[in-house]
Amino acid sequence: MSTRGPVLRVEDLHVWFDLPGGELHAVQGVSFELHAGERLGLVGESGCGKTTSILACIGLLPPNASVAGRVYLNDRDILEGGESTVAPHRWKDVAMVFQGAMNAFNPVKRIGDQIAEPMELHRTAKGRAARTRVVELFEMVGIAPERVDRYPHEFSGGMRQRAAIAMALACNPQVLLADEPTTALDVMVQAQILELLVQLSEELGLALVLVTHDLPVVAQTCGRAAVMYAGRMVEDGATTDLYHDPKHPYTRLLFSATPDLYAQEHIVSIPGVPPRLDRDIVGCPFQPRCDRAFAPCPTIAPPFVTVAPRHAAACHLNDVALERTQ
Amino acid sequence: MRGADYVIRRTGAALLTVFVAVTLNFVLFRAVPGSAVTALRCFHCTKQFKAALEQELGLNQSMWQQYTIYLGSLAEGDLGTSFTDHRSVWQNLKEPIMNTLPMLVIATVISVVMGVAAGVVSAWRRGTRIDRLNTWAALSFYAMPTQWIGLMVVFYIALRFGFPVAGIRDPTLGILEEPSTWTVIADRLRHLALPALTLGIGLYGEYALIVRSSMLETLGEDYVLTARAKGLKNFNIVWRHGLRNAMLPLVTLIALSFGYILAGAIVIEEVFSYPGIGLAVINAIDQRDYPVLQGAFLLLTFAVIFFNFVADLLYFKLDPRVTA
Ligand SMILES: Nc1ncnc2c1ncn2[C@@H]1O[C@H](COP(=O)(O)OP(=O)(O)OP(=O)(O)O)[C@@H](O)[C@H]1O
Ligand SMILES: [Mg+2]
Repeated sequence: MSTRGPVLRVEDLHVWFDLPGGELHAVQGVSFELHAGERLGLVGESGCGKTTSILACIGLLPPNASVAGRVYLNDRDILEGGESTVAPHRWKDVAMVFQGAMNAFNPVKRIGDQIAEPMELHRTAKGRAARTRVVELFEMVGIAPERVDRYPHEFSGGMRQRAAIAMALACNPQVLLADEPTTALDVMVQAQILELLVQLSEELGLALVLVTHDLPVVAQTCGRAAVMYAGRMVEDGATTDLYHDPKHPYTRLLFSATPDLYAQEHIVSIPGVPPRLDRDIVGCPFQPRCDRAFAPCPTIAPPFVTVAPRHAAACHLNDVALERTQ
Repeated sequence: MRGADYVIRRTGAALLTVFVAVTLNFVLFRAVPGSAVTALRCFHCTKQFKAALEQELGLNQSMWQQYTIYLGSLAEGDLGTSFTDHRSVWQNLKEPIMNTLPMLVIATVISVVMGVAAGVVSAWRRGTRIDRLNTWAALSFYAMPTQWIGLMVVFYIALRFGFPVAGIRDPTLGILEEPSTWTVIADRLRHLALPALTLGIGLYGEYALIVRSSMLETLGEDYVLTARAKGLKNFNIVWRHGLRNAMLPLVTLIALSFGYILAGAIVIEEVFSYPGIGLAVINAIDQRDYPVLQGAFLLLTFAVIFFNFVADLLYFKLDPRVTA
């Protein structure tokens, strides 16, 4: 991408939730990088820790969560000093569109005021200038500017989602973390919203993390994809590489579990369930469901390593492959 | 416009309710066996006297005639004449009402402030010791009988800090010299403080519990997480995005419980010998003073309808989603 370093770099991120019955290790060492203008699709089964990971990046987890690891924004660790170092970057540098962002707006306040709120908070614009900016943002995401003074319930689902994106762009962030921004929308609107996100990231040089269950969505919108399983990264690489040459059995099975409109053969599901996260996992977490597990898998956890140029995976099969080629 | 339409419709509904209430009030007092006159027992109450009285009160006319006469005099603001002192009912009730209203308002303010503060703190610090303490206190005060709270207030506050425990005015005031307006107001407030406090404490528990649960619900909403992601600090999250939504159920509750608040006031006025509407009602019952009783019921009904109307308007102002 650019010659500069990554905008966002996450290193060995861990999250534990303190629960009445013990601790739940929801994120178990996630690392990834993101450059300006890059779009990364973060996929994985429900409960694998996608939302938790991106919330941790900007210090938004509930009080019962503890976090370890480093999150660099332009080479500065923002989690280092806790709330005081991460708070100034919220929305100003790292903005979010949430899972079910249909409800991202307070029902009793005008949409325009809610979009202007972070600008005044972070002093990027205020009063009349903020209002001008809101109108500008509305035009950018394709909503008629005369709707700024309307209330959320007067917007359709798709429009509310556009407004949520407008709100995310209010302070000109460098990174946009979008958590399943289209799940509640119908297919047509979904496609429009995704198109809008692609267009904005290209025009504004925005780095985008798109969390989704939906692999075709990733294929259409993101140049890169990262696959999570049981709180860990299992594969990260160019979307086409992951599709044509997956380096982890889970990725391969995930792609074949995706319904294809043209393929006549029935959908394959992956038998079994992900491991529980409230107890230690020995060996590879995917091993019990894996169709190609072998000797080291039940006992040794495979490290997440580079297996090809710009392609990393955590699977013992890749070591074997390496050994064979040597 | 959304506003005008709504106000007109609500006003219409309130007026209709007033009419129904007036009619019910009429029917209720005629439905009791016997009439106001048959119940009279006194030395000079001969048959002739009673007949004359019935004539005077119009009780010998048909129900329908009585009803139209009743409506007619109500329309002129005439609530009838008291049996006991032969002054008009309005003359009898005006002062008690003017005594009770400020007490109710102050009690409501006390209970809302205490309830909202306790509820918000509890919700924000959910599961901590302060939350448990708050919830426990709220539940206890909610469960305590009002008159018992009144006695505790007399015992622990009035006697210790020298607040008056009966009446509404210091009887020695104005004997030596004409008191200044300020002294009169201060004296009034001192007499009002404890009844209002008692009522406030009796009400706050319920409000605290309601605010806590609606605040918890609100804090779990997506827009609160969004507000946090936008960089808002705790206080502003609660103030700008939590409170208004969490207050919606409370507005309705206060309006709906207004009748109940009045009932609480009656008990408290008895405890503190506070010459308000509650004591007036009790006296009217003792003396079988039907016109005063009927007038008091009617005014209280009007008050309940009025506060519900205000709550509707307030709700409408607070929640843009309300359309009809
Ligand atoms: N506040 C919380 N308290 C306790 N456990 C939590 C909390 N939030 C998430 N978890 C647990 O952490 C794990 C990861 O959850 P997370 O929401 O990050 O998954 P996800 O990948 O986003 O799933 P989905 O696709 O369903 O959104 C799950 O096991 C979940 O039960
Ligand atoms: Mg999620």
